[in-house]
Amino acid sequence: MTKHDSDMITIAVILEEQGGNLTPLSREVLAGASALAQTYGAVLESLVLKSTLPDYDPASFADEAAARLGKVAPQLILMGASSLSSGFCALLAEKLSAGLLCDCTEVRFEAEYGFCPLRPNAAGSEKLIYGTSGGRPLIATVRPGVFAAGRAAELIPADGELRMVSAAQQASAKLISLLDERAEKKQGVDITKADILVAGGRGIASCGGFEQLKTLAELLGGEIAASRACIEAGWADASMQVGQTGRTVHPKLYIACGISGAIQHVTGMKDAECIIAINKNPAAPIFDIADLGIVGNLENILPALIKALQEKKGEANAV
Amino acid sequence: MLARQVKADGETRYDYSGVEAALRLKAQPGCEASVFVLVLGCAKEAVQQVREAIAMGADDGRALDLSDQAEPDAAAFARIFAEHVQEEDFTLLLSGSFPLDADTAATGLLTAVKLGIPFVSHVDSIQHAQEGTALTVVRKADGRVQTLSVSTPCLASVLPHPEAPVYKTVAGINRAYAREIELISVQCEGSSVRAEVRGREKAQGRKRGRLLTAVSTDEAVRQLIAEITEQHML
Amino acid sequence: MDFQLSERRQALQQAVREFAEKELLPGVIERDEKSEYPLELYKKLGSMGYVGLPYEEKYGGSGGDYLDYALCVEEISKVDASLGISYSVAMSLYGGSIYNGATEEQKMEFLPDVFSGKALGGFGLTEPNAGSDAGGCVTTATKKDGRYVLNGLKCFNTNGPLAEHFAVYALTHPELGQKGLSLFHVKKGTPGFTIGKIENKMGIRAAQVSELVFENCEIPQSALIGEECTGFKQAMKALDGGRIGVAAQGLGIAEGAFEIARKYLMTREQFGKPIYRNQHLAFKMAELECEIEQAKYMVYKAALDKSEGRPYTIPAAKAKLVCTNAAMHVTTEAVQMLGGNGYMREYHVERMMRDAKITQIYEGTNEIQKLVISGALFR
Repeated sequence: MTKHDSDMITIAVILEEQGGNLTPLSREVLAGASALAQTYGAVLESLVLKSTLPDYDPASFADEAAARLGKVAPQLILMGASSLSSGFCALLAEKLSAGLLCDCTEVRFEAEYGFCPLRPNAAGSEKLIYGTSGGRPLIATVRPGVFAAGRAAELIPADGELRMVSAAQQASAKLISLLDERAEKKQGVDITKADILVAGGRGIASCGGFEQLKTLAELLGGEIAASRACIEAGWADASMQVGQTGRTVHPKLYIACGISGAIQHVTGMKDAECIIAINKNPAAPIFDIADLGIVGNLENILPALIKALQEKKGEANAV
Repeated sequence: MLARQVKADGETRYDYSGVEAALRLKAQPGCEASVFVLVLGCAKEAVQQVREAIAMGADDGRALDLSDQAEPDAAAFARIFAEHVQEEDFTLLLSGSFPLDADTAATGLLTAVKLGIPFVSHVDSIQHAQEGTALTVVRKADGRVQTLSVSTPCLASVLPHPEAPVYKTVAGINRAYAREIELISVQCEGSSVRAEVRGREKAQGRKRGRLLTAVSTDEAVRQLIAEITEQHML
Repeated sequence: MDFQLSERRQALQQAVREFAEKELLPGVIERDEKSEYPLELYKKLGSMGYVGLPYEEKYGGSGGDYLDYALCVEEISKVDASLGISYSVAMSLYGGSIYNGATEEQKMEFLPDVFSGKALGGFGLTEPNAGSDAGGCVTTATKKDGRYVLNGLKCFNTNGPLAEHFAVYALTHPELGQKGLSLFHVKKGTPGFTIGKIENKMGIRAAQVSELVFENCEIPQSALIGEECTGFKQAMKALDGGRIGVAAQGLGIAEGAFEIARKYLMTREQFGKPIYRNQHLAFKMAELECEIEQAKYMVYKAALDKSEGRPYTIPAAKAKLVCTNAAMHVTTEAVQMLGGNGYMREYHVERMMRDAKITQIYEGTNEIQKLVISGALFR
């Protein structure tokens, strides 16, 4: 395997535009890709495709994108993982004879491989580094949060401006027409599908129950869960119970508030990627498995945390 | 008389959302449809899945045998499906949202493109239209609910509905096991869109992390936000 | 001799298992606590063809055989033994009574609703003074103006409060004692027929068990099933079929409890290791596994004997004896294996243990089964 000279590498990023603006995920991917390109001296090629219906026509977009990218021969092509990205990327991959990896969790530059995406294996015990053979490009879709959101100033890449890709014809637009669109209402939640869970145990009695946890969960875009004690006390519904006689969850982030960490509960959440625990008892067993443990009073910490997050959100919206 | 078809991919035992969507549509009043299931996978399991679909209410099916193919590949699968579906007279092709095609969830779109038909993903429900050849489709993606009118023939990849399962009936089981299921051998050929694994790294096991015992509320909040940010949740 | 279940039967088993786990499991603890029967779920099972499995389609059944039916009872009972017995009583005791002895016309009138799962069936034989001594009935059916008038009390009738159709055994010839029993079909709501006390039970609490009260209840001539004075024989024949159902129920209860215990032993850790690593517990589970497998083949054989037209009275008695004893033994051990948790409702096994007890008692106590079996040995 020849050592890659990062000067000669081009990486590409495909961005989605909806209603005249880049989607937040696309901005994030652009910032991350720009940072990588700048750090390792690679050339960044950016393409913007309009992804709102009825403008969205994957076949002709893919043709255009393939034509442009074929000329610059990028080693890695990144796109934010959205509802249509994997389909579009598959089409593009076929036209470029590229490899396709969905939902990668990290992108690195390695001397041996060049730019490569990583993804954990199914069991979560290993991180796999992906590439292609024969000099083919690799397309990777990137989940939100993999690249930290960048600031406005970093949005213009070092080389050139953003190139728009528009559909050559609008034939398929007539076959699909949009009748109505609105935001999704949340119904009964399946906690086993949530990426973020904010869970309460007996210890939240002191801070007024689940109301605060609900606010915290909403701010983080997650769901609430509970230990058995809360179900028994009538503070939470049985569908929210995590544990041996409840559900087993594998969220990316599990925040345990006032939960002691008895095995009956831990069994249901020990495979969460990141566990944060807040409890006033320093000897609580939950701290044995928490990545970050805070010994303190929930009635002080929760309101302060919520306030800080609200302020942060206010800042982000103002940008 | 409209004919629907359903595709199912690979060896996913649980990817019946496409079949269930087809059966739900068939059960709508005023809808005359026959459901044909196409399953791609290893011989024995593919035949088994066709039988299970018939037990759930599908009218007939065929199994495509991919036994000699080592790695799943969305592009090759799409080619195979397109080839086998082309001769059939169908109104609607349905597939599950998460087929076993190396996690790319792309087989649906690629098949639609090869067949030159419109494609809709993340479909929550489909309404049979009383007149004309368009279907009304509700799509849920990216936090938005869209209602679309899609002209047929078309392909839809559907979201699973675990809260409303379609069960196998006794009559269905009897029908499914009273017949021979057609099994055809197919090959994966042409360009692939596979990514290969170049290296591995061990992920860390779970052990005790940082424990902060004597911190002020403000410090605790700072640490919490830092950790949450680092986990890319903010 | 092929011990494998055919693919079709395996598919049937999986399908019922899926339904049981998705629809019967949620709420089973609550139903036990509140003594509430899931009639809607029973009807749903019926609409998919699972209720009338052992009977022909013309009577509303699904055209399967007795082994199909036993598999269905088994899978249901792994999760909800109350539904299991209610189903078995409707199919084997009510269904068998009518099916075995009725005319074609009577079958077409009295069977389809029950076999299709739209209505439940009940079985009226036992009385306060006629349990094991079933021939000691005193309920009478007096002929009057071409009709029969029923007077008496039946007790411990599963499905009593919910059933639409009943197979009732009464004396047309009281002077003949046991030999004077006759079988009748009685419809719910017939004047003079009411439901008496509804029992508050140790186990199978979701099943509704009550008295059937007959006070000058008039029924037509056409309600007589078979000939007068053949009632006792008909009851015994129906019970033979019912015993296979109860055996399947017991097997299911044992298997359900066993699986819960097995999973628990693998996840529960004490002294730094999962508790199945303690050889005493692992060995005990090995013994229980063997007991369950023996029971399984006994009930499958009895079901096949019936389906294939061979004598099945003794095999049914043996299966009932073995399977229900296995149910009691396995559930008791399961509670022990789960320790303190096993005593708590939410872990299911204590309910299964309470459910298992009655299986050793009804449809012929296990002592009666031994009477039947030893009777055959020493003829």
